[in-house]
Amino acid sequence: MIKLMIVDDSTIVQRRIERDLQLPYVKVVGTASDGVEAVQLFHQTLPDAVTLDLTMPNMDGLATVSALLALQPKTRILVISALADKATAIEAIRRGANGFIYKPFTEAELNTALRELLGD
Amino acid sequence: MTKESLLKLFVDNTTHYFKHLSRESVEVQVPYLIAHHEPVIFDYTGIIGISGAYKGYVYLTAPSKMMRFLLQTQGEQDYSEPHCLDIIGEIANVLAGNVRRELGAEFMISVPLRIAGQPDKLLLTDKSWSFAIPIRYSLFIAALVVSLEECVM
Repeated sequence: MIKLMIVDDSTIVQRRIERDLQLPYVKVVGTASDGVEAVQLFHQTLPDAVTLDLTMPNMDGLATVSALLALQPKTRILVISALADKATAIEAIRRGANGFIYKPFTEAELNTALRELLGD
Repeated sequence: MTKESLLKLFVDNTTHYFKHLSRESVEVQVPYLIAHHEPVIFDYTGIIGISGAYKGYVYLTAPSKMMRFLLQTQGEQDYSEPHCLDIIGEIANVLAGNVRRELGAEFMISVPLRIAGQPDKLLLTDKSWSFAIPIRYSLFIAALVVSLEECVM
């Protein structure tokens, strides 16, 4: 079973990702509302993969990519963001994120991106 | 980018967003210039501060019945105020963030400020131009307000 952590400052989006997730081998182990919470939760849940928003209070998503990978470089990170410019996606990938999809996303886009993220 | 082009960008992005949400009809209407001190405000408002190449804000404001409907489209059954505030902020974030596809990363956006009811202060800066873009979604009317001034980079 692959452990997934969801990080987004919107509870509605957190729940939407959890609800749309249709990969039986993936289990959501926790949700966080910003980068600081994500780092704390990471220590408790040790996720294999993370979905990560970028525009968040306290610690934004790009900083969170770096922080999570400093804790565990093998973590797979899928960025899910409204920031639709290429430069931001490139910067996220440069920092070590493994995938990027834009909001608004469909259920199919989410599951395809997660399958690719997890090498399925 | 001209003001007209910028407004068209927001109109196109807003149309795309609401069409993506559900099969409900959406009509993003012709933007109109709003006079200072007469901001358009409904029950819930999500405000995104803009900095970088532009300065000002973009906000989405909508009535509570529309919030309930939007929550339903997202599979939610809890229509409490925190959830209404959550979704209005999230949609404002997406509408502002998506225009970076054309405007680039220099169109910097803040985290959403979420407000129920009338905000204490929502001042339109003298140098900015402010337009309201009416959105008719299903049976509801909301508005996206764009209040920006271009900065010399």
